[in-house]
Amino acid sequence: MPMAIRGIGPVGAFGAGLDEWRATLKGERKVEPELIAIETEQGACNLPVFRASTSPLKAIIKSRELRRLDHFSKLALLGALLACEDAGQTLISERTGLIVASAYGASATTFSFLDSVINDGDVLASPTLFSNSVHNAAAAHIAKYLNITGPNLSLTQGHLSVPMALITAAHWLTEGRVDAVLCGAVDEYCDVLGYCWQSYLNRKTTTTRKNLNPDLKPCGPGEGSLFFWLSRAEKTNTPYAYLEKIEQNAPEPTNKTLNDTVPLISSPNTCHNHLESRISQRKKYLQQDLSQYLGALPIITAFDLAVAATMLSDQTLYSNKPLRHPQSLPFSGPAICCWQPDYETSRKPLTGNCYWITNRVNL
Amino acid sequence: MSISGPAIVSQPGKQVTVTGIGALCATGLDFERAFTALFEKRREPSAPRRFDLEHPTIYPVFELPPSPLDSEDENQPWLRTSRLALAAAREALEDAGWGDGKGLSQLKVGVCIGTTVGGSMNDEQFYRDFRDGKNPGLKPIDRYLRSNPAAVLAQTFNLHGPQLTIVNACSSGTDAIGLGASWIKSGLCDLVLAGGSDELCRVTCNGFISLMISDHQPCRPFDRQRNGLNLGEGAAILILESKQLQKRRNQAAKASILGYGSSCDAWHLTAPHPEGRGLSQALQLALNNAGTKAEDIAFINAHGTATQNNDLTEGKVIKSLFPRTPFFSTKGHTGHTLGAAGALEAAFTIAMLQSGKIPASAGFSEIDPEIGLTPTKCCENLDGHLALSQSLAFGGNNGALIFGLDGAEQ
Repeated sequence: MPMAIRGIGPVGAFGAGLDEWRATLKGERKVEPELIAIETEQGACNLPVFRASTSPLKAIIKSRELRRLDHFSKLALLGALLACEDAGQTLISERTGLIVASAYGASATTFSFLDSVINDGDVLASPTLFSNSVHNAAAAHIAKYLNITGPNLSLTQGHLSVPMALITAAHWLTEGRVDAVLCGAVDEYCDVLGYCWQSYLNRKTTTTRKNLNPDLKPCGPGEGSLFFWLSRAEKTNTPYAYLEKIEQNAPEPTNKTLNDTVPLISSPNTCHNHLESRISQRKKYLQQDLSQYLGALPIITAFDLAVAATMLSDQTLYSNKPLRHPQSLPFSGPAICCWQPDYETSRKPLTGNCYWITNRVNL
Repeated sequence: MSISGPAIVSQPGKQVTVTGIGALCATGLDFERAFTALFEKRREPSAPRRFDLEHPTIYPVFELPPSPLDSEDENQPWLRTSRLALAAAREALEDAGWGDGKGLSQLKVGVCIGTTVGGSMNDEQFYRDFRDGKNPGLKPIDRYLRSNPAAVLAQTFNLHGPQLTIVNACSSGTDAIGLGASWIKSGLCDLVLAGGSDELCRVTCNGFISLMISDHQPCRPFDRQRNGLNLGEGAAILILESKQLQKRRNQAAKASILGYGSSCDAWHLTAPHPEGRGLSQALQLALNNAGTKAEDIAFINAHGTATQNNDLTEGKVIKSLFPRTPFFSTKGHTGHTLGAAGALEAAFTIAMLQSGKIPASAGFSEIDPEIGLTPTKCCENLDGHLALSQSLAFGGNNGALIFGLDGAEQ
């Protein structure tokens, strides 16, 4: 069943909200990553890190209500609130579901909790830090703030976190459990992650985990959140776009399977160069490299799909790294296909997740 | 679009049967032993064996009996949580007649696992070394990244369907089974390995002690004198199959999953809604989904952690919706196994339906007047063929599953 994307809430190093998002897609933003000193076995270096600010939350929620939330939950809450605002839909508590996907969870808070144990001893471990380190704390904060009492799911599945969140949202809508789903993904930077990132980079191996291994894409780690407001497709009230289907273990689309669909290659969080060389053999393609605005994120798929939805809604192909298309080409659709190869498996030929996003569906 | 209407989620779809169970917990390293022990009076939580805690009081835990799974060899490919899940999955596949699982690669097979510890990057020694500037090696990180429980099972059995690790705290196992069932109902999968797994770890123990909800005595679910939970560890995996596949294989079904409901209190990070608003909602959804009524439920395998808040809230809801239905908690035998709890209790629920008897609620002796209900005080014979297993969780999550003996579909 196609899902209507009715709202988008993006948060990243580029900023927060749709104005910042569109400016970024148009190439009007230049993001300077923060340089963070990292000491590894191979010596010291400055790692470029794409941090995201949650300061816009202060204009929405009283500081008092935010004081117990950690950075991870704030990132998620900000993305969720922006998606709700953008959708402009009435939220009916029991008929709305909430899904929060994350590859690593609130890792900074987890290590802060360990700090409390190491610094002060087991007896003085911090209950507040422990509470916020639990994987579903962010979803609990969002549900409480927005009074979402429908099904509530937190999940972690590495680079598959986002497709599994979307598949679950589609199931809930199809089953009639809910009428809308606030579905998003969030990940944060922490010092340990930076250390691992740089250590993997130093290791210069392609056999280790590529989510943390920037070997083929040396941009630096990022953080952020992106939420969608999703509902069933309907004849009236045109949304951004429809997520028509998600194919798992799908082969790379060919010109024949693509037909009139534009293949979008955005923010390849794994083997950028490999993908680029493969896709250049296609007769048409579009590349939107978000990594210069976001850094590398295991949940980048959510941003990829937001790129596609925004382009279909704006009828404009935004490309900040055009190889054959000029920037901001007029575009009337009908569809965009995002294919994300799964480099985590050794399957040959390479397969991946294929997302088909359209601006019209047959109802 | 219309967003009003009744919250009824009963829908046609493929029937979901349970054909195999594998489980291990403090009461046994396989499901038969784990289940049988629920009917015995013996329960022996003790200080953690695999790690030390520095508290003036001992907070007992329900740890797995010693076994090769205890090996902490640094070359172990996976975290203990995933090793427990794998052990349960192997037993479940064997039980379902799939042997070593090799025949599964021709089917659409998904994996849906609940956990808490299994999703957390919290290696304490690595972090201590990192803080001390010792530039620790990345083996613990490699192992963490390799150890996503659903991915471990999918890779081990060469499965190509959806894989999902749910981190809904204490309702993770229940939600994993509910979502796995929906994959079969929709036709996304023919078969799903669904369940939960969690290991005991120092970080979690310290966390629960810091929240002041751990008892220094064996836990007493629903008892007036209850004073908190005992943590436990374990795993349980159910083999869910479409009715068509189960019939085609001529494999006996243990039970059917008839209903699933989930909700969120949207109330407080660590405390349930005082009137159980979210739990009532999840239960009503599960009943609607199953197309049945509260009075048709033969027994309730309750969450029953033995914390003041959980048992009071849960008791109020049971009293309101199921005033005459027998209920109990098995956590007095297993401890609170967190992400595994819902799956373990679902497995026990099915076995109780099959055996026709339910156990005493271990640890209970005195009625709490605020709850006003008494859980089972001795082994009872069953009258009925539908049962409910329910979970409440940190963050206000609630999940409920309704099982029926095969052939009990409405």
